Amino acid sequence: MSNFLQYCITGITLGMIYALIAIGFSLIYRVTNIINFAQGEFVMLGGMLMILFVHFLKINYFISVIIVLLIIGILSFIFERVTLVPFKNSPVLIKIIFTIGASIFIRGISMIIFWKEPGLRYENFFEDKYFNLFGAVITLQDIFIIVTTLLIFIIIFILMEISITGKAMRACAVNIKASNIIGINVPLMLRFSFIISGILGAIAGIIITPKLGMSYSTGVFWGIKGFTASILGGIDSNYSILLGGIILGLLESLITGYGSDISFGLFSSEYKDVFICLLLIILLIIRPNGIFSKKGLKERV
Amino acid sequence: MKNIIDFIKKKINIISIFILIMILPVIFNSPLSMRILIEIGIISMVVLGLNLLMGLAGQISMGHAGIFGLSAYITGLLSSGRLNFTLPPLISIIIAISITTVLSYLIAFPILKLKGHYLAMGTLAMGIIFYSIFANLSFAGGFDGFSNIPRLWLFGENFTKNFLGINKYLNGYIIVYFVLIILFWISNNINNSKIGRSFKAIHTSEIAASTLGINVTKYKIMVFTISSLFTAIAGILFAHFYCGVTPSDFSIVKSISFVTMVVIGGTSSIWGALIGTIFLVLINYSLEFIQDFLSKFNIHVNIIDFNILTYGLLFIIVLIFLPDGIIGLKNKIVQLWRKKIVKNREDK
Repeated sequence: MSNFLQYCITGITLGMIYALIAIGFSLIYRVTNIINFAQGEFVMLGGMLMILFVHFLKINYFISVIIVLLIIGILSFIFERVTLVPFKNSPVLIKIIFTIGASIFIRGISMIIFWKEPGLRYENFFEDKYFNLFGAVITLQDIFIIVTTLLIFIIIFILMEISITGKAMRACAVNIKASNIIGINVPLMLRFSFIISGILGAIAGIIITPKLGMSYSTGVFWGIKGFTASILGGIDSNYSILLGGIILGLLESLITGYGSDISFGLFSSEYKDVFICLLLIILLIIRPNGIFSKKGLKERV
Repeated sequence: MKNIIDFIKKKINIISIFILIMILPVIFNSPLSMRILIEIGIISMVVLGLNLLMGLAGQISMGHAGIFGLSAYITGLLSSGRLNFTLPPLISIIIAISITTVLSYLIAFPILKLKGHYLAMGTLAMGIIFYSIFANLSFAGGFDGFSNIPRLWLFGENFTKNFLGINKYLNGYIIVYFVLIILFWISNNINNSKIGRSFKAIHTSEIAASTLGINVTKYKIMVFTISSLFTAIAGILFAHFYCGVTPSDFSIVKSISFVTMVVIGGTSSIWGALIGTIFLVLINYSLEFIQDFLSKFNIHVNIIDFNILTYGLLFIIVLIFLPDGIIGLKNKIVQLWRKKIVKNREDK
C-alpha cells in the first residue's frame, strides 16, 4: 500500500511537469495552429541554464530564475520572429519542418555551450525535508513542484478566461481574420502566446531538474511526453490538460513500479518510453481530441 | 549516327552519372574516401525513399531511422550467430527486407490516417519506440550493440578477394552503387508514372485528389511502404558493410538528419535526395577533417560536436532563403541563364 502511494506521489509530481509542458503546446496550438516541436528544448534550456547559473556560477536562486526566464522569453520571441513571420502562408509541412530544424539548432548549441554528461542537476531549493504520508515519503521539492504548477494553472486561467488580453488571444484562436477586423493586434497576440509557452516550458525545466537531472539530449523526450499529455487530456482546454498530465504521470510511474509484475517480466521499467509512445500513437488515431472531449471526432490538421 | 547522338543528348544526365560512378573509385581510392563514398551511397537510399514520401506525396516521417535500424538489426541478429541458429547472409537479407516491409505496411495503415503535425508526432513516437527497443534488447547487446555481422561479398569471399583482387572497400562500393542505381531508376519511374502523379495530386490537395477518383488511403500506404522498402534495403547494406550495429546509429537525431538531407537537397526532384546526402555527409567529414587539422597545431577543439548545430543552421538557412533546396537554386540559375540567352537573341 505504501508502495502504491509512493508511486502515486511520484506520478503526480511528474504529471504536473507534463501538464506544464502540455499547456505550452496548447497555448501555441490554440492561437496559431502550429505544434511547436521545439517546446521540449525550452524545458531542457531552462534546466541547463539553471544548472549553469546556480551550480557553476553560484548566483542566488531567485536572481538566476529571473535571468533564466528573461533569456528564455527573449529566445522564444526570436523563435516566433523566425518561425511565424517568414512562413505565414506556407503549407503545414514547411512549418513543422522549420520548428524541427529550430529544435535541432537549439540542441546543437546547447551541446556545445553546456556539458555532455547525462543527469546534471543543481542543489534543491530547500533542504531535503521528508514528510511521512501513510508510509510513503513526500519531499519538500515534490510539494513545491505541485504547488507551483497549480499556481501557474490558476494564473493561466485568470489570464486566459478573465483578462482582456486572454480573451483577445482566444479570439485569435477562433478566427484570425475576424479578430483582425475587430481591432485585435493579432501579431502581438501570437508573439505573446509564444513567449508565455516558452517561459512555461522553462519553468517546468527549472523545477524538475533538481529531482531528475537534465541533459542536452532530453529535450525531445520532454517534448513528446508533454505532447502526449496534451493529446491525452485534449489540447483545447486548460483543465483537461492538467488532468491529462496527471494521468500520464501516474500511468508512467505505475508502469515503472508494477509493469513487470503484471506482464510476467515482459514489460520491464526500461520500456516505459515504448509504452508512452504507443499510447500517443493510439490516442492520435482513436481520440485526437482527448479522452475528455464530448464533441466526438473532429479532424484537425 | 544521328540517332545515337540524339540518344546521348537525351540521356546525357544518366550517362554522365554512370561515368562519374565508374571514375570515382579510381580517383578516390584511399580507404577513408571509399568509406565516405559507401556511406553516401547507403544514406542516399534512405533519403531517396524519404524524398518519395515527403517530396512526392507530401507526407512526413520522423521515424525512418527506426525502420532503417529494424532491417539492420534483423539481418544482423540472424546472420551473426547471436541467436541459437545462424543463417547465411543472403537468406537473412531477404527475411529482413520482407519483415521490415510487411511491418511498415501494417504500421502505415493506422499512422497515415494522421495528417500534418499529428503525422509528424506519430512517426516521431514510432522512431522512439524502435530506438528504445533496440537499446533494451539484452540479447542484442543493449546500448553497445553487437558486431561480427558477416560482410557481403560480390561473388563469395575467396573468389572476389584473391582471384579478382577486389578489396573490401571496392567490393562494398560496387554493391552499394549497383543497388543505388536500381533504386534511383525505380524512383524515377515512379515519379513519371500514374502512381507518381497520384502522389503529386495527394500532395496538392487530398480532397481534390479523392474527388478525382484517387484512393487516398491506398496511395498513402503505398508510398510509405515503398519508402520503407528503400530504407530496409539501405539498412541491410549498412549492417553488412559496417559489420556491426549500435542503437545510436538509429536514434532520433539520425531520423531528423535524414529529413534535413531531404529538405536541404530539395523535395521537388529526386536528384535533390542525392545532392542533400552528399552535402551533409561531406560536411560531417569535413568537420572531422578540420578537427584533425587543428590538432596538428595543438589546438584541441571538439569540432565534431558542431555537427548537430551545423545541421540546424543549414536547415534554417535553406528553409528561409531556398525553400526548394539546392535543386531549387539550380533551377533558378538555369532559368536566369535561359532568360539571358533569349534576351541576347532578341537584342540581335
